[in-house]
Amino acid sequence: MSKVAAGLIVAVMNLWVISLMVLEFIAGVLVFPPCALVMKLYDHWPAGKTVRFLIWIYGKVWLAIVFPFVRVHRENMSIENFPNPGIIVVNHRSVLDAYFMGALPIYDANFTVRAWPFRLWWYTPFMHLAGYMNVEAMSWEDLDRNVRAIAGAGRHVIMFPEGHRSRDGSLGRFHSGAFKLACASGVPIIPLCIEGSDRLWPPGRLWMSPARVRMRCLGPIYPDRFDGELGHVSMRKHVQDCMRCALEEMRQEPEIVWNQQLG
Amino acid sequence: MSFDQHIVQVVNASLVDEFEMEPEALKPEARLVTDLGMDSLDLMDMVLLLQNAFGVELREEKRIREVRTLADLYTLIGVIKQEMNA
Repeated sequence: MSKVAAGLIVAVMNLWVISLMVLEFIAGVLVFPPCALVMKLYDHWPAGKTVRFLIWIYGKVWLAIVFPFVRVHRENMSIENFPNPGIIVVNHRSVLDAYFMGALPIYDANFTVRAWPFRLWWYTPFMHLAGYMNVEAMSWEDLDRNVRAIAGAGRHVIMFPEGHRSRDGSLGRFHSGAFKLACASGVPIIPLCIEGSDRLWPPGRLWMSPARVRMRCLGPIYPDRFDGELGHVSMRKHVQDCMRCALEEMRQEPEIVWNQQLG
Repeated sequence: MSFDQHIVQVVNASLVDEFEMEPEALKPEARLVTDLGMDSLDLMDMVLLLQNAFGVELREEKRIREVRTLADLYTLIGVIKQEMNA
């Protein structure tokens, strides 16, 4: 494929995806309130659960929007690999990684995020309603209490233990929070590897490129194997090693031609 | 300022092994939070690791709260070890 053709595909992709994302957001804002009302009246769902469900659907719609340009391969993503409660830890390579959570087989999950996504005012009300946690604004005690309550209710927590996107595609240093919470509450860690989202839209680039994205769940890892005061450190290192090996293996797959040509 | 090289080696090895720090980032003047990117949980873990490595009590040590840089940490561990041996 020539460089011109590849550039044309990228231009069409960005026009398509960005315009449909704007439309999806507008439709979402219009559709959320009546949907939430119907679900409240008929299913008696609490507001948070309803919003988390609708956000999951929003992610699925986004996956459908990007489908012509982004092929998502899911491995070990059956519901048995996501026992509840559980803390799902995900590697982070692109700002779009959160959208890929629409591919999870579970919807009732609370994200823990840094402060900056809460400054995206168009998302903030939904994040608050969904019970997402701002780890930079919460004390450790509050976070621990919240996660225990979520685990007690049999739900999932989603965390990005690197804290920020990887700039070079490698797995970055893990913070201990997720693992300390897992050890303290007896909840398993569920490692989820995403490979390829950095080629879709890496940090520092202004446009998206077609890509193939692979998601692989490594299955639950229970904290009872890691005892002692520093058990969470051992658990963090073990989970990180497992994810690093899996990502290395997933990366061996050949890249899509468009990305190679555009560099 | 000179530090006990054994202390420097053990502290730096802990930071490299347990927190994946780059060895070249571990300069005495490096600040633990702003330069090395440690958060409050990392600091607590580091204290526990160094307690085990040096056999000294750091968690209840009030002076640990004043540690800002690696140099502060090397110095404090050296002082506590001296106090234990005195």
